[in-house]
This record gives sequence, structure tokens and C-alpha cells, in this order.
Amino acid sequence: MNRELLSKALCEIDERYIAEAYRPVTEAASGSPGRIVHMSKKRIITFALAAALILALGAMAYAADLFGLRELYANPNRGDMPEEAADLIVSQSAEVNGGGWRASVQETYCDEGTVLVTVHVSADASYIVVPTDADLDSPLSGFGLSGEGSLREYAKKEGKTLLFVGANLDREALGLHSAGERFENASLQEMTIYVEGIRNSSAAAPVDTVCTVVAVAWSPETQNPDTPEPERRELPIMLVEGKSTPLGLFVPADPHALPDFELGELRLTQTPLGIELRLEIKTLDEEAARNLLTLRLEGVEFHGAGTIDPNGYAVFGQGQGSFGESPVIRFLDWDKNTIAEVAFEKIG
Amino acid sequence: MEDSKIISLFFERSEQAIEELDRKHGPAVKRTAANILKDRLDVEECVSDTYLRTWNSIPPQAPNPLASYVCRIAHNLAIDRYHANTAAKRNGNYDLVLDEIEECIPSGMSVETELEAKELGASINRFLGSLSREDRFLFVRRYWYADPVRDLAAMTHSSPNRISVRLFRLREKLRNALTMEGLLV
Repeated sequence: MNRELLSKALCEIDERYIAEAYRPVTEAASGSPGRIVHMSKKRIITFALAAALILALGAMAYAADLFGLRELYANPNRGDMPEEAADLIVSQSAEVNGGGWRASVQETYCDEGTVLVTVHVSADASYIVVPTDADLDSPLSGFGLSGEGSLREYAKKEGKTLLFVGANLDREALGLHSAGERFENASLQEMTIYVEGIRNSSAAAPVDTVCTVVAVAWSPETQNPDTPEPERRELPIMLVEGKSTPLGLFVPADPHALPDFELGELRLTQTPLGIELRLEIKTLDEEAARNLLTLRLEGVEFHGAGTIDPNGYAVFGQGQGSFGESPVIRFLDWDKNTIAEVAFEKIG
Repeated sequence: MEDSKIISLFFERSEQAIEELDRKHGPAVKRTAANILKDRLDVEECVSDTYLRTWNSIPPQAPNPLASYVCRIAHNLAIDRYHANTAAKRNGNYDLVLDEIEECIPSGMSVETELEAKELGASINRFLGSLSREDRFLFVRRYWYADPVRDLAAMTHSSPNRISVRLFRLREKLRNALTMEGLLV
């Protein structure tokens, strides 16, 4: 038996299984026989926005209202944007130019828990505009194009340069703890980037801030992967923060009802996009923290990005529904089984 | 920092990308290499090479998830280095991993060509797809990440003996699956 080839066979194990079994480690492995591996002390579970959804590259005509902020916010899971929130959308006008491409910020929305921005990018005919997380070796069908081969092969065949684009918000200024992008192509050279940021600070958002557009041009024909230079352009944006209403401050009937955790104050707030939940949570056992996937507030469906920092806060937003006088939270493990059901009492 | 932000830093060709990658995933990368390589210097070099290869591949790649992407680079570099090293420097832990897998290969089968290695890899993937999530976790952690049994026991709140028994049963299952497929005969 050739052991080198045997280990090569193990190298063939599918990426999704490698990712599934991945566990973060906080201390460097020493390699010594007696070492103890410590699992991550702080594991943040992020439910990112749906990644890189590209629709109908090619023949589809661009219609601005098709990719408006209100339209991009809506999806079958969370439905349409509430009217109260839609009224707070602000049209923007800032534009910037790059080398062979242009970007303009279209619309913004802001409340205590969420910041939404749409940016439109268009490029010259020599480019194909793709998201920063586009996989060059993905089949064309993944990009709404017909034909055989990958994006890389298509670009090479057509003699096009790929323009990878993305948009970032000022995380510090806005107090963002997570942000996701969604990309919608209107044609090969036109894309709208929808950015959704979840804020971890109840401090007022700055009125004036910037959205940074990053574009990297790369030609499969002529360039090495390590040569592209990014272009960054700042688009000034103006935010108008929608008002939020406190719905109550609660404490758990039993702070230790969730095994291996200590639960603290639960703060529920009504924002124009829905109910926002912030729960103090502290793990007493790092291994147990690995087993916690998410939480559910009885009577409320959360649709925005949610995070659980086992040594900080659980933050969920854009919830719809009602929770009654004594909210009940269910904590779920990775198999979606209930670990604990915890009742909370109102104190303010 | 979120992976998407780290990838953005790579796209911006900011050296902070390496710092943030090392801060977030460095321990897992080092652990992946150290499970396969015995020599600490080899591990350090493997980690440096992993970061260089990541730097050279992002952009144009924008892997998601990033963690398993860099662990795979580290794993493959460590395997190459493991086989290039002299016998004296080989790692007893990874030798044991290969011994265990070797015993799953039914008699009459062999892995002597690249093609056969690929076919065996495909069979292992089909086998993994048939397992429960917990069994798959144990298999991948043991035979890809090359974690020692005691570490697997700690991760799963189990005893090393129980893990050894479960791994033995998994190897038996794999052996049966390969026999059923009649691969490489």
C-alpha cells in the first residue's frame, strides 16, 4: 500500500465535511504529546445574510426600482418591509468614479438596531462585475449564464476582465457587530450591492458617514492572482435614525435555567423594522457553549441577522409577533433540539 | 473580526489581513499542521507557507467559509512536508492515523496510483454522507484533522476508550462500504 497516496485519498474529503468539523482553537497547538487543546472562549454565531445571489446576468434590462432598498429587503422569510420603516428610507445622490467603473449610493435606512444601504456599481463593457465572494471556478449556471465551464473560463473566452466589487460601512462609527452583503446583477456590467448592518450599540448613529466601495480588476488572461491592486472610493451618506420604543426590561426567573450559562437582563425594543432582542449571556463552560446554536422568543419570529456571543450578548432583530407579559425563550442546540426553556419576569 | 471583513482586507491587499487571519484562525491552522508534523520548526514554516498561499489566492478567490479553506491549505502543505521528511522526523500521531485507515482497505485492494487515490477519496466521501453528523465529525476530526483520540474525547465529553471503540466501528463500517463498492479490486 502506498501511504502517500493513502493520505492523498484523505485529502479528497469534501470541503463541506471539513467545514462542518472545523472547531476554533484559542491556543496554538504545541505539538507536544501532552498538550491540552482549549476550545474557543468566545464563539460568535453569526447568521449572515444570504450570500451572493446573482440573478439573470445578461439579457435582463435594468430597472432601478427592481433593486431599490425596499425590494431588496423583502424576502419570502421575512416578507415586505413594514410601512413605518419604508417611510424612513432616504434617497442619496453621492457618486464616485474608478478606473473604468462608477458607483453611486442609492438609498439608506437606519434605526437603533439596523443600517441598510444600497450601492449601484456600473462598469465599462470590457468588464464583468462580480461580487467579492464570487468563486471563479463555479459553473456559469451559478451566475445565471448558460453554457459550459466556469466563470474563469467564460471571462477568458470572452476576453473580459473580472471586476470584483464590495461595499463596507464604517463599523466603528455605526457600532456594527455584523454586516452582510447581497449582490444583484442587472447585467454583466451593472450590479446593486445591498448592505445590511446589525448594530450593537444603542448610541445614536452619526448623521454623516461613508460607505466604502472596493473594486479589484482581474483578468484571467494576463494577471497572476497576487497582482491585483484594489481601488477604494468613499461615498458620503446621510443617515436619519428612526425612533425606537422600549418594550420592557426583564430578568430570568432562574438565571441558571440554561445549563452551563448564566443569563442576565433581557431588553426588548420596538424598532420600525420590528422587535429587537438583547440578552446578557455568560458561559460557565466553554465546551457547553459549542453546543448552543440559537434561541427563539415565543410568539416572535426574528428575521434579521442574529448573533450569540457566549460571553456577552445575544442580539436578534426585525422580529414580528407578540410575546406577552412574561416572555419565554427557548435555547436550541445544533440539531435544533431544545436545551432549555426560560421564562422572564418584567422589571421595567 | 468576521471572515468577510478579513477577506475584504485581503482584497485591499492590506497586510492587516494576515494579522487578522492569524488572530482568528491561526491556532486552528497551527493545530492542523502540528497534528501531522512532529517538528516545531516544520509546523512554523507550514503556517507561514499557508499564509503566503492564502495571500496569493485571495483575490481572486473569496472562500466561504474561510476557516476550512486555510485549514485545507495547511493540511495539504503539512502532508507534502510529512512525506518529504526523513523517517526520523515523521510524526507518530499521523503514522497512527494512516495505519488505522490502511486497515480499512479490504484485502485485494490497493492504492498505488493517483487515480486510485481519487477513487478512494470519492468512496470515503460517499461513506461520510451516509453517517450521522456526530460520527462524521469524529471521522473527519480523526482522519483529516488528525486529532489525537484524547482531544476527540475532550471535544465530545466522552472517554478516550469510548472514542476508540466508536472509531473502530467507523473503520469497520468504512471497510464494509469499500468492500460493497468493490473499489480498487
